[in-house]
Amino acid sequence: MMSSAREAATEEQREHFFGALDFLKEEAVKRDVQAVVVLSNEHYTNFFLENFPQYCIGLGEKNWGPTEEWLPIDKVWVPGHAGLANHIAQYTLNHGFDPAFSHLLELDHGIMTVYYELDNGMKLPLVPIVQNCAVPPLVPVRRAYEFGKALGDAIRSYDGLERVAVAGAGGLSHWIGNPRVGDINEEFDNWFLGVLESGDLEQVLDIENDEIELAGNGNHEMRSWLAVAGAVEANQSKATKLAYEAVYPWITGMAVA
Amino acid sequence: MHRAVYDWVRVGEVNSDGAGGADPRASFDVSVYELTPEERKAFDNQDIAAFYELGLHEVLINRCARGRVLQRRLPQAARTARCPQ
Repeated sequence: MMSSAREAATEEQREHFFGALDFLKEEAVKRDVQAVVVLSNEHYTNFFLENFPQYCIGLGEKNWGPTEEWLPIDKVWVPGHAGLANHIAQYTLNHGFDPAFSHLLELDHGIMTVYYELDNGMKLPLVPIVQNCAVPPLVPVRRAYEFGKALGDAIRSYDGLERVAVAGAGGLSHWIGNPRVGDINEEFDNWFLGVLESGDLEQVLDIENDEIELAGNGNHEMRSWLAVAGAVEANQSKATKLAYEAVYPWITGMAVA
Repeated sequence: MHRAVYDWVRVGEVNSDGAGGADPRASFDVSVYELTPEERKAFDNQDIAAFYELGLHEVLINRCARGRVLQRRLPQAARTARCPQ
């Protein structure tokens, strides 16, 4: 909704939210980021019920997106980074995870909205990682975080690039496809962002699925946020909240951290 | 029902030509799916609430709803989706 209904948010909300994204884009340019890894939910875009991996890493030289007809982002071949992607796949396989892989992923709104805000020209090499945050059985939150730790270690051990960004894309609280669509749990969102900022992730890593759903079925996408928290843990990095807006027209608690 | 809705969503995404051609979903043949009468009625009526009551996964409900809205509001020529060559 941040792309397809941009103007539905108030001007103040747009300034805060997109201002934070602009800040990150400028930081990426300033730091000469060479590639970005984006984790996001799989929305029945690449997989259906006969085969639904918990993680799938896009290994291809290019991937295509966005899938959705309604998303006002040009549909392009997005450059991948096969070297980094294959290294991540092998590293995580060597360290207790079994991600699926794809040489051609379709990139839906989950990845494309954030990627587009990072690079409007969509030239920055992208390693997409789709996660199952929607179709039970789901990876435990702690496992998502541990995968992120392995991902971070993989990136740091890759010799081919010096500066790689990692982004976790997904809502905070939101409900989709049920009668509560439009609700936002601001209390949960602020608590979750506070946990990220505190660095005391033990408060959230054993959270159960029914508790996650107090902030909506879409809130399972918090796994992407925690994967990124895991990826940067070795740097002893805590999150800094740059923006939080409960954007009701977008039916989602929107944050940048 | 899941398969039918998934295929309906996907045929619109994958086959949209963006050149003003026929709506790729217009020729979607739902009769090849083994749907109960209630499921078929929900599909034919584009009844999102019925899909929910019948247990369709909520992500697919969301995608279906957005596809339906698009189908109602936008002429084909206004769509920009292109299938990779």
